[in-house]
Amino acid sequence: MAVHESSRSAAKVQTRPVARRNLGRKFVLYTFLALGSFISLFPFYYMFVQASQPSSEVLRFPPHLWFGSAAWTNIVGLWNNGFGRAFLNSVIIAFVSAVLSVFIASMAGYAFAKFRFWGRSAIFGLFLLVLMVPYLVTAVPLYKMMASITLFSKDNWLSTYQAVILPALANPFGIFLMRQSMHSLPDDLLDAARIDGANEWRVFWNVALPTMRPTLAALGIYSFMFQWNSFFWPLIVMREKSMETLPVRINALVGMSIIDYGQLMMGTALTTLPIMMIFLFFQRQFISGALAGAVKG
Amino acid sequence: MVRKMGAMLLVVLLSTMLLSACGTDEATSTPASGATDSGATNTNSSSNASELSGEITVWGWNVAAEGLKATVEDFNKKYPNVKVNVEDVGRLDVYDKLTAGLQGGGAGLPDVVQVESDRMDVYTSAFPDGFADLTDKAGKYKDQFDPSKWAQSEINGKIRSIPWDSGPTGLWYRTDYFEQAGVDPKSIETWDDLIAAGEKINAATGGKVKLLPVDIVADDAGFRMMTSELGVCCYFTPEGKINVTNKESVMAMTKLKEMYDKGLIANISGWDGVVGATKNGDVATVPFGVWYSGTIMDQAPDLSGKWDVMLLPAFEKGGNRAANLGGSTLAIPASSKNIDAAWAFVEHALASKEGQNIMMEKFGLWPSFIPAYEADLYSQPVAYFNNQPIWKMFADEVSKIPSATYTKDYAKGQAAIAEAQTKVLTQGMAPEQALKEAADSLANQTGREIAQ
Amino acid sequence: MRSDVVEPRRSSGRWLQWRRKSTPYLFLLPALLIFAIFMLYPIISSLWLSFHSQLNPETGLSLDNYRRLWNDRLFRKALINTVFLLLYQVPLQLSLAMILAVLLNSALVKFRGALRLVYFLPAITALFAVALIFRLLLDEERGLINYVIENLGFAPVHWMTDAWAAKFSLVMAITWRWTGYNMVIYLAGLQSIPYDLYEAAELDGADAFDRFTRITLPLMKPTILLTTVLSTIGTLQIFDEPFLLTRNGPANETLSMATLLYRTAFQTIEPNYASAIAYAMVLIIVVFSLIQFRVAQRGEDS
Repeated sequence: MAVHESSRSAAKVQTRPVARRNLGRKFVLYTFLALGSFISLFPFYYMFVQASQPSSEVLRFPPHLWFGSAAWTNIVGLWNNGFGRAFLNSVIIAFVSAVLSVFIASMAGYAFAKFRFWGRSAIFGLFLLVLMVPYLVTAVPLYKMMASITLFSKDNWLSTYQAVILPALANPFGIFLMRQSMHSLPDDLLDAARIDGANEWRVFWNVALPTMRPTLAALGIYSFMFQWNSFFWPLIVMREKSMETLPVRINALVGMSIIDYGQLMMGTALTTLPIMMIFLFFQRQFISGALAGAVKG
Repeated sequence: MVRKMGAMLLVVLLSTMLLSACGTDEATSTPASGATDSGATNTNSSSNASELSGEITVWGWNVAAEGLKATVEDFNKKYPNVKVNVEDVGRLDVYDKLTAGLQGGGAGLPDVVQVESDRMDVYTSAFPDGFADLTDKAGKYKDQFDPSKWAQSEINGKIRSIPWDSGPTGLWYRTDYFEQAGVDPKSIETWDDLIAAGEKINAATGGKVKLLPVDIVADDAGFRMMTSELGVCCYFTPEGKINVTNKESVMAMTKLKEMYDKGLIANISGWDGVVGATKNGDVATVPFGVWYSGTIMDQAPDLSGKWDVMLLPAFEKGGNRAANLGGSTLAIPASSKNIDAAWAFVEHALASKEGQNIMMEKFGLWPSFIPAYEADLYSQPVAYFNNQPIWKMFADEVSKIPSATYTKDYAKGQAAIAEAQTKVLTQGMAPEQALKEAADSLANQTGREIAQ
Repeated sequence: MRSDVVEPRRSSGRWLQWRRKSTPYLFLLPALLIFAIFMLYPIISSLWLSFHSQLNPETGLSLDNYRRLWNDRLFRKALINTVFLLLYQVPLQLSLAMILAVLLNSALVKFRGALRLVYFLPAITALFAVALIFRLLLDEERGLINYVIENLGFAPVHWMTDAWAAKFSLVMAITWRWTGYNMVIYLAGLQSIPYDLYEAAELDGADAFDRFTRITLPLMKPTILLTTVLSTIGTLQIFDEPFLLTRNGPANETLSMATLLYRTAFQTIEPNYASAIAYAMVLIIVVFSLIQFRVAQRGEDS
């Protein structure tokens, strides 16, 4: 994307004058960067090493630094502890959240960026202000609400997917992000479509959205990651074991009568792995997501 | 290139994981539901019992949850139509969920929940009607339960929970380490004796084995056991004044400091830390409630025969060695849709010899239900614990435990003492000073007076 | 912003005009609905709760909780801890991110993309996982880090029981997780600075340090401000690390405002008082953000 292009061209221009400088500097530079990479990566390595140890070896002293042989045993143990169902729950929640929040945030971002209307800055300000309220304090009122909603449900909304998905949908960060990138959309393009007789929905859906694909992808991935890693709210609201998400299920292993450290570390590793995988596949989107809010703003 | 290959590798890993999951998942889901139907086909004689039906959910943690699971089979012989789901929820998670649930008017709560006796006041004062009033159902058992435990269940004249297990304390110790250091466990009568023994063991094992584990930062269990022994547990006087600056509390804190200064305390973190130190052989003793026996047997089967237990040491020769730590109750949230079935389960588990003793035998959960003590098992030797009749010791101890005071501010007291403990042990503050600061802090938080 | 001025061909009549005016609201509707129900309502209801005394609930609307908060030494301690964390954590993390970004932006560096990826990786990891791994690494008796320290011939560090070491553990865990994220933002900012500027300065005889302070920093100011505000809000609300890693210890030395809020709401069960803590936090966050904007503005003026 834009960032990549500019970096490459800058690098090319830069190469000639700098190349003459001494090798010593290069050595220092690489040592520093390598050290940084080591610090960055080592905890992950250590997590995978511990995940492959039998329970009794995880807390061994001196600690293991190479992989053990119990990876499979730990995985099997996890499945017996309801890991499969928790994995499924996490996938469903994270995926649905990603799709819906992209949809909702892009509509809102479009309205904020491309229309002038009464209350625009007030509403936008309100969205941002909410970022400053600690989420812990809304947990109890939100819980009470979930306990009293009976719509579309035989009992109430406790231990339902929507209880975890819905509150995270009106994500101020997402709306902010979409607003920023919708700003860059030329008005002429939209007007041309209007003059051609498209109604406002079609202008949004057929003209505005398709140009936003990279940002939509970025936001979708962020929403996915947020829900995938989310811990406290699912812990409170998912009352039934069969509805627990991955982080909640794995955390429960700590409180069980038989603490299996190998399983615990394997569970942690297997929760981290999919997100790492998604990160590797969609790194551009991840990075542009991190940037969109910051640089373009 | 490398990046793409890494990604591919991850995909392969993940897909194998998923595939294998589908295979094992089905296999394991059957026994979970099957275990509870065992009595379903039983045509029961008692019409009253078979009329009860439905499904109830029970929350507990650790060995307590395991213990309750063990009572289900017998329960279903009496009540074939009640399906019981015992869920092992982590201790802190139970409290988080219980708090949110009671604030939400009881929605999403189970039918039966484990609450530690000392925490009960925190809940009943915040939610006076959060738990079902069991006075009519349980009143008849009053004389059959340990009176000190029963008192904790009766709040403003109403019974809100049923006492489950008591926590008579013991000093669990490794016979092999004592032998190695040439210390005779029988010679230990006071904490000073124990400290001397600890030093010998530490020296004999090349500094590898410490005397006992303490979660310095977060838990004051050692302090609570000692103050219970000295009769000033827990943080407040019966009149409700702050009671942590008395000389007994200072003695307790000073003793902990002495152990720490001599390098005898293994600083561990969390429940998993205690368990880890126990099974890894990092410590020679663990002072804890009788309920810890279940965890030791469960977690360190290979150490069978190497663990034994004695009473906690006293502060002076011939002094009191009986104390209490922990112990739980079972309560029924008022929101339960099946209070009768929930009560039937609680009654079977806690107010019957069979229920209490199955939990006792397998998991060391010490009954508060007095008739349970008639069983043989209390005089029999336990193979795991050096083949000693360890239950007899606890049975004799129970009646000697000094009474304790629990209040709604118990949790605040615990946090304040953990803070004082950290200051004393790791920052070198004088025990008097740290406890005074704890008292001031409690006064500031609760508006209570400090006892003189 | 001309779209609303353009008159589509068919738009005549009051109905059409109404429809045009309502368009933005219709686009906002789903977000607004969900926002109002699942965020605004719980916020207002907890705000309302905070004005009802915890200790004397019969008194009706009152400032009792806030009065108690003013004198609450535990809250003061949490506040001091959190602000303290802010004062050394945010500058450390952001300057480290800046250094890495500048180094990565240097033409000497190959594999820039791969390195950026490596540094960013911690930011995507679940907090409970981070806490668990760091707890294993920092374990006082059996942790790898103490093992290494001991083998180097030093005394093991009491990571969780020594006040400074515990604070340092917290800083390590937070810095580990967020430096790469900020670095990516800075790197993009650096790459948008036209290279001509540097070349011109170099011709004028400016050395690398001058170029950094005279060109890079001023041009990066908006980005730095934004990351500072975001990190500040994040740190003032810090919960997971002190809750899971240092567990508020030792002696409440790593108790943060948010972990105190949790303890008050869920362990000592004082919901009204917990709400007051939350809104005191909001106030503090707003004040800090305003100060930062003000400081940035003053810099602009001079």
